[in-house]
Amino acid sequence: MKTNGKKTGSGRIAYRKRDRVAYLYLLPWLIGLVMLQFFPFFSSLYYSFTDYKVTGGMNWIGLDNYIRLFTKDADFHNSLKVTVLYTLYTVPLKLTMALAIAMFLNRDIKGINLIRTLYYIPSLFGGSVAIAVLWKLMFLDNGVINAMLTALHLPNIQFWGDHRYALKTICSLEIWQFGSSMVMFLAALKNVPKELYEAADIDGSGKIAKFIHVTLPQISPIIFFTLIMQTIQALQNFTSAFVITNGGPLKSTYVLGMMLYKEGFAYFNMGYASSISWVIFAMIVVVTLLLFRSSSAWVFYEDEEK
Amino acid sequence: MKKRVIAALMAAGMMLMMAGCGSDAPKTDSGTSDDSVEKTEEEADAGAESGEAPADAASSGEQVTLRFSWWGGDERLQATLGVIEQFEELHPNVKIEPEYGGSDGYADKLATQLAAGTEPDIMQIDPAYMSSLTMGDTDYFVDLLADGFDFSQFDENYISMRVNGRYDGRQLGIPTGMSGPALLLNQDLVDQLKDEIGFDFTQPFTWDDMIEWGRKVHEYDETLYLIEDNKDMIEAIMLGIYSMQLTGGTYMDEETGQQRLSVEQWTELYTMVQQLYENNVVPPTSYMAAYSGDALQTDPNWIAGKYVGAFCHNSLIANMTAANPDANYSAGNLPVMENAIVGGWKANCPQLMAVSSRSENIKEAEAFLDYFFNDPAAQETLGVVRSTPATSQGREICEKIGVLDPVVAQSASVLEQYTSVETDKLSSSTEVQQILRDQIEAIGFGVTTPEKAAEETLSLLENYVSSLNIQ
Repeated sequence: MKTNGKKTGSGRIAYRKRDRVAYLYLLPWLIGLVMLQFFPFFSSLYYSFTDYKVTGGMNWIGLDNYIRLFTKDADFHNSLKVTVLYTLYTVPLKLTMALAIAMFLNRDIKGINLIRTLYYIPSLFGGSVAIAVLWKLMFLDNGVINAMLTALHLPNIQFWGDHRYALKTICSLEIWQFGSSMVMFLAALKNVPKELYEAADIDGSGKIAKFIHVTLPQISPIIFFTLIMQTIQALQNFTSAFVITNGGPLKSTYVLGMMLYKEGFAYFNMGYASSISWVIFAMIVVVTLLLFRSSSAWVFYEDEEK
Repeated sequence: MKKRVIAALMAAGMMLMMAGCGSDAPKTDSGTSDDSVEKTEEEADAGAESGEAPADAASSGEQVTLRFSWWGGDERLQATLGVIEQFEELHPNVKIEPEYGGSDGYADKLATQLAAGTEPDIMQIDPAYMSSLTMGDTDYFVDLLADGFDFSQFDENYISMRVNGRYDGRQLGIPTGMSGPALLLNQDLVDQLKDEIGFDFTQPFTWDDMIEWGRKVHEYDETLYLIEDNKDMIEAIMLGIYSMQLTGGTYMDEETGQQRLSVEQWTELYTMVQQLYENNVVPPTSYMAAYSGDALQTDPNWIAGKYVGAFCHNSLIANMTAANPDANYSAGNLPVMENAIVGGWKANCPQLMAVSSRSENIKEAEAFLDYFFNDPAAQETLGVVRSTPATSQGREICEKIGVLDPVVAQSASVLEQYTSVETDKLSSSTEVQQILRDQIEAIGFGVTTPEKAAEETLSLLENYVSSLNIQ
C-alpha cells in the first residue's frame, strides 16, 4: 500500500521489467493470435476484394464479389434464406427445450444426477461427423425412424431425399444437442433466490405466474447469453449439412457455410468464398448488436437496481 | 566363404561410390556416371528392370525423404505399402512417407496443399480434378516426358490423351490404369426377365430402347428398376456421352469458352433425363439422394438384387459385385442413339500419379514412379488395386497371376468398339458438373422442365466461362 501513489524510480523500473516478463509469457499466445486469428481474418478480407483462385493469379476487383453475391447469384439468395430458416427453427426450439428439461431436472429426486448426465450426453458429441452420420442412418429410407413409422402404420418419409423435410431433419439434430444450454439454465435456476418464490406464494401466485414473473426475469441474463451463442452457432452451421445431405436435395440444406465451402474448396474461388465468409460475419455482428440493443428491454440484472 | 568376401567387397565398393557421388548428385541428372551402381542393384534384384536416369539419381547416397499421397481402400493400402517397402530396400537412402486416406475430401486437401506449397512430392490425383489444377498460369507438376521418364510400356495413343495426363504436349501425370464407364448387369435378373421384357444387352441398342425396357421392367414388377443411378452418375456417365453422340463434341470449346450446344440440344439432353425418371428407368431422385456419388453399392436395393444393371465406372465393378456376391454379373453393351456422330464411350484412367514441380527431390520421386509403373515385382504386388494396369507388362502379369476380373476385362473390350473424342477442361470441371447435377436433380423432382433447365444451364455456363476471363 505504501508504494501506491508515490512510486519511486527504481519501483517503476521493476514494474517495467515485470511487464516485459509478462509479455514474454504471453508471447506464445500472442503469436498464435496473430498468425492463426488476425492473419487469416485480415487476409480473407483482402481476398474478398480480389478474384483469387487457388489455381490462378489474384487481381484486385473491388466490390465485384459482393455485387455478384447480392445481385447475380441465385444460390446466395437461396443459401441466405436456408441459413435464416435454420436459425429461426433451431434457436428458439433448442432454448425452449433446454429450459423445459432444466426445469424438470431442477428438483430433488432419486438418481437426479444420473438423469442430468444422460440428458447432457448428446451435447458431448458436439458438431461431430460421427453423430451426423448416425443421424443420417437413423433417418434413411430403411432406417430406424421409418421402421417405427411403419410399425405405427404411418407412411414412410424420405427424410433426406425430400426437399420439404431435409432441412427440418437437420434442424432436429441441432435441437437434440440442447445439453450445454440446459446445464446453464439449470445453474441459473438453482441461483434464483427461494425468498422470491416464497414472497410470490404469499401474494397468491400460481405456478405459471411464478414462472413468468419470478423465474424468467431471474434467469434472463443466462437466456440472453445462450441466445447469442446459439444464434452465432446456427448462422455458422456446416457439418450436418455437409455430411448428411451435401447441401441437397434441391439445395434445401445449402446453408451459407456449405456454399462458402463449395466455392472455396470445390471450385477454388477463394476470393468469392472470402466474400461469403465476410457476409456471414457481418450478419453475425448485426444480429448480435440487435440482440444487445433489445436486451435492455427484457434482460434483468439484479445489480442494476442498486 | 568366398561368396561372403565378394559380397563384402561389393558392399564396400558400393559405399565408396555412394560417398563419391552423394554430395552433388541428388538434384541433378547424374547421367551415365552411376552405371556401376545401377548394375549392382540389378544383381541385387534379378527381376528389376529399372529405368535409366531416374533410378540412377535415386541410388545416390544422400538421405532423402519423399511424401507420397493417395486415397483408396485397404487392399490398395497394403499393396502400395508393399511397393514402397520394396523400393526402400533397393534404395536405402530413400525414405517414403505414405499419406493415405479415403477419397472423401482428398481433392480439397490437395488443392489447399498446392495453394500453400505444402503438397507431397508424389501425388495421386483424380483426372477430373487435374483439369482444374492445370488451369490458369499455375505450374504445379513436373513434365515427365521432358525428364525422359520411361513410357515404353504405355500405349502412346492412351497416355497422349489429356484425361490420361498429357496437357499441351507435357506429361503432367501418369495414368494408373484403364477404367471407363460400364453397364454392369445382374446376369441372373437379365436371364429371368429376358423373354418378358425382350431386352438384349449383347446387341447394339439405343437410349430409346433402354427407356422402353426400363418402363417395362418397372411395370412388370414395381420393386424392380432397369438401371440404378443417381444424379451424379447420370451426369458423369450418361449426359456427357449423350451430348457427344448428338453433337460430336463436349459441351464447350475450351479454347474460346464458346458453348457448343444450343438451347434445343440442351433441351434434348434433359428430355432424355426426364424420360429416365418419368418411365421409372432409374429410381426416384428422392430415394437415391441418400446414395450419392459413387456409393451405388450401398443402396440396399442393389444389395437385394432389385436392379437389372447400373452405369458405373468399371473400377467400381469389384465393389458393386462384392455388395451382392450371390448374383452373377456381366458387362453389357452401351446405348448409342440413331445417327450418332461418335459413340462417345471410351476408356480413361481412374487416377493419375504426378510429381510436384516444387519437390526438392524430383529425380528420386521419378525413380520411385519408374519402379512403381515399370518394375515387374511392383506390378505383381499392385495387381489391379488401381484398376486394370495401363502398361502392357502390368496387364500380362495380372493375367498370369489371375487377378484380372473377367467382368472388368469384358467391360474394357466393350469400350473398344466405340469411337470418341477428347474431354475438355471446361466441360469436365467441378463447377460445370455441379451446374448439370443441380438441373438433373430438379428434373428428377419435377420442379423444372427440360426447356427451363436448358435455358438456365446455358446462362449458368456462360456465367462460369465469363468468370474465367478466357480471351
